[in-house]
Amino acid sequence: MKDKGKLLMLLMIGSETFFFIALIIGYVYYRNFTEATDTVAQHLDAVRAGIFTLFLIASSGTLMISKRALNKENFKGFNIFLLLSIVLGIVFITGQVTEYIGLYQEQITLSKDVFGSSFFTLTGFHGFHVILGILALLILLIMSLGKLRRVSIAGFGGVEVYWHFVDVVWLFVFYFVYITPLL
Amino acid sequence: MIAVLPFYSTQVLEYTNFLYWSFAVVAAIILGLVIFFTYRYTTKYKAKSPTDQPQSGSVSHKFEVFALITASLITVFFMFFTVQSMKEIQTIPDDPKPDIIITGHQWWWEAEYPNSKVITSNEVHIPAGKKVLLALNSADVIHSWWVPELGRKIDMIPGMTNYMWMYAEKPGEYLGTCSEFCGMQHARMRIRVIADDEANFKKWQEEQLEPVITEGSALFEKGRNLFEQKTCTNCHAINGTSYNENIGPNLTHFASRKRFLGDFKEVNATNLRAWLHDPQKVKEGAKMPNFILSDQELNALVEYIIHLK
Amino acid sequence: MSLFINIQEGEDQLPEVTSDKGRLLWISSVDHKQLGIMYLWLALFFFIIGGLEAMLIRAQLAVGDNDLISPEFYNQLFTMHGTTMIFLVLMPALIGLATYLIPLMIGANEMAFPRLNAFSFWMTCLGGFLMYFSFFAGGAPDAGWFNYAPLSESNYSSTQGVDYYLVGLILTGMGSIGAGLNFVTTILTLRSPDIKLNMLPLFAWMIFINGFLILAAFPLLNAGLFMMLIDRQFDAHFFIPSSGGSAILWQHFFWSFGHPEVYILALPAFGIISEVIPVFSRNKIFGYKFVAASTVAIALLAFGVWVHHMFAVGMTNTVNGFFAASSMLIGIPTGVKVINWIGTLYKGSIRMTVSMMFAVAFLIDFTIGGLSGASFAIVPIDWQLTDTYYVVAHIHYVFLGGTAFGIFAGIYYWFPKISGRFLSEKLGKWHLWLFVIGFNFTFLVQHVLGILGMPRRIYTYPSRFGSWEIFNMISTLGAVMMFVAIAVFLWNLFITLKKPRTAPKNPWEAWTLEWATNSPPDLKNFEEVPRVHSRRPLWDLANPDNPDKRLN
Repeated sequence: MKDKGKLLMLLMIGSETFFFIALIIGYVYYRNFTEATDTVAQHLDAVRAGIFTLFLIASSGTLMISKRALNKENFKGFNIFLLLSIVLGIVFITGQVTEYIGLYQEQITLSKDVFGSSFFTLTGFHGFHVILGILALLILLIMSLGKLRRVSIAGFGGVEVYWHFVDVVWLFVFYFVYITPLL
Repeated sequence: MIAVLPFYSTQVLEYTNFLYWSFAVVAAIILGLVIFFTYRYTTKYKAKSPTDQPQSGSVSHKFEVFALITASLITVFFMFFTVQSMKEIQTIPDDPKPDIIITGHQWWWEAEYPNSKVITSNEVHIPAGKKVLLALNSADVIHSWWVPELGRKIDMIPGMTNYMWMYAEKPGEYLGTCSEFCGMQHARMRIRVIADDEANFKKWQEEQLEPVITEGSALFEKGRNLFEQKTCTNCHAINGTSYNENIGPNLTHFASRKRFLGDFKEVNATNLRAWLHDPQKVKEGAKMPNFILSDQELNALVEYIIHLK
Repeated sequence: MSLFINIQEGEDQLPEVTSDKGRLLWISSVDHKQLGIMYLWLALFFFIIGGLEAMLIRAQLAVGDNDLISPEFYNQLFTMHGTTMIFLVLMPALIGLATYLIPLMIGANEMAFPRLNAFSFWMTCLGGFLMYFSFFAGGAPDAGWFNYAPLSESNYSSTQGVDYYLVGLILTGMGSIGAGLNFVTTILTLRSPDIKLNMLPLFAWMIFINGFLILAAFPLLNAGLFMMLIDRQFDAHFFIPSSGGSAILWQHFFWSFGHPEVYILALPAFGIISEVIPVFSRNKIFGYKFVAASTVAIALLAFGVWVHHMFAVGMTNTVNGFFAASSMLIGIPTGVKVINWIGTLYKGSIRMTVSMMFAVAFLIDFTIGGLSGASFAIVPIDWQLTDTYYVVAHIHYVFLGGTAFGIFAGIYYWFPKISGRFLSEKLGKWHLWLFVIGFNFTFLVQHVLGILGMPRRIYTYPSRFGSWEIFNMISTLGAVMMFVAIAVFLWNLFITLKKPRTAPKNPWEAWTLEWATNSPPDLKNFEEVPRVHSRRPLWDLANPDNPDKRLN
């Protein structure tokens, strides 16, 4: 493989996968292998989170469209769909922030108990990755709009892989944190 | 079966000894071969001159296959006996009824005998010639129980109870130690297990259950009052009195013990006095506060505690 | 006009080092050779510090009931000694050698990501110095390099030391991940077009596999470190049993990183040995394919053995049995590697240079470490000997007798390439013999101490245990010998670096591509890369009438 940027990103998300597996294992371990009951799950709104999940998935879709546009050298379409992906990503983060605020008002905090700790750590690290992704996409957008004319396809490929990875991680987080307590 | 070293000589460790010896033999053979061939080849084929080129010729790859198969067979052998001996050493009933509950504290041991309700600290008495089931847990950080001659080692983990069998063939005193790093005085958290024969063990238990003396000389009385005034009772329990906070070591029949502070110092008036005078000087980091006692107060307290029999 | 230009990879302009003379240029350098050398200096610096810590530990333990060092300081010392030697000495030394040599070995002029390379180095450096800053910020970490919870939580370790440990390791961990990424991408994308993967020198192959191990293992540690940092800084409860957390989970995280880490430190050393032994035996490596394939087997198995560090925590016999089996299995590919190295000696024409002597010492002492390690796979033995000095002896045979001997062999081997000068062979032999003998004195007796029941991590022991005192004294005297040996090594370095550069391109008549460059290589490694048709390109060039079998 000669596209070293994309290769680097694939290896890095492979590595990040282990990081998130560890965090998810923590959450699952506390719920299933200790006697404590999950105090956070009952305060979570799975439907609301589900809707915001759709926004994140949609942003992956729009990013794919914008990549197709880039390959066809349709730069206007590229910019529009890139912007749309960023906006969808921001919507997702806003959803997460308002959810946090709601939980803190219900006294569900990081330091309340071990479920508070693992919920905020897991979703927080994911949110942090989404924010990094948004920043990377923004840099691409600014470069393509502004006077910096050098945007490498390789760079876009890497960011795109990363964004899909963040998306997939969220699906797992969503399943383990929001869905399994309902089952 | 010859013991590896006198330490591991009791019957309960027969399997461990067998495994260790067979392993030692295999390891010695492998190591011997490695040293022999390394030495032989490096001397035999040493270059005579800087331009020497090798006679060329390589070992047959059959040898690799042979080594692989041998290694696998050795592995199977050890695996079989490992599983066997694990079963032998560590089979705990489903509904364990421990003979002794041992709790690790920074840096001392608490031992409770659920059948007789005896509570003691640091020195654990067991009946010889009888398998004793221990339940182990911890009050703070992770400790590990290890008396080499009497059985396996097992960690004491807060929030978790572990069980193990302990067995002393003959009466005697057996030394052990905390084996998991547990903070500043990990080194001074040693174990003394005293195995008594059936009669002596029973006698010891009965003695422990007797109420402590509450009356004595004037100095003793003063010491007893000080014990309350100086808030010793906030941490130390003495069975048969109203002092029952089990934060520090239980002091009932303290004077019947040989050593204190995690098998660190002998129980006598001098050591006790030094300890009460400045605990941090004797065992730095210990949780015992310095109460800044005057000489008279020290005398009285020592007089009181040294008579707790 | 198009807004976008498809940039061809490799045309990217990098900050350029115009001269290799200015000292300040080093800190802005992205050149793999300069970064490799800086890694090595960093490792040496921390090796001296970690060694001095070890000397203090040995001084304290020389006699029983010693009060030379307070228990508080002793705990900081052994914590920092372990952490330093593993994360700030062995890791940077191996990564440094790899950073220097990988591009040279595969016929490339740079790493795939030079800036990432610099980033990795400076992260490691920052993490290391941050950890040592804790000494000035109220106390170094004191919960052991393994940092078991809940002892490492704020209620039992109230100084900031553990926080420095956590942040420091997160930073060095990121550095290591960066290095791992760079090695894998470099080897995959920048090989000279002639070189197929099965033609890589074994050192490069092991670093390649090692890259994957780093990528998979360090995130597990980082996750645990972050969780503990959140525990300590934001009052979370991950590893605090009294409020619902789990003390065991930390151990799982730590050792699921920790055991692969053992192989992360061992594989590159295997690689060095697999270069040094063939060159000085004038023989091809015996069983290249086997050595390469068994490395992969080790890397995969490495993730399935971590519970053997936890046999004493009280898991069921089934779990223990499973991990006993996997731990025994991983010994097989490692053991057969030793056979391959000995097989390489067979009918060779062995040149006993200091480098080769270190490799031979490695063969024997690493075997001892491997065998004592295998004894821990037998659970009942582990139930007796874990957390005693037997383990201390074992890890030092693996890390010092194994990895460090490998690194010394590599240093003496590649020093002419890196600096253009030869280290003195005479001083080198003093270094070797003092070090090897001192090492065996220090650690062989520690096996016995463990069997006698001496637990590890104790700051003192009762002086009434006479036999403990005798063995500990022997151990301390051995440590003094090693100390002198390192002094000799430093003197050797010092006087050698003052000499003029005299080393030819290929002083050892070696066969891999790094020896086709100047000693030291120019800023641009290769003006043109020799054609490669086998695993020993320089052999083929020197013996056109008797080349190795063509592989491409």
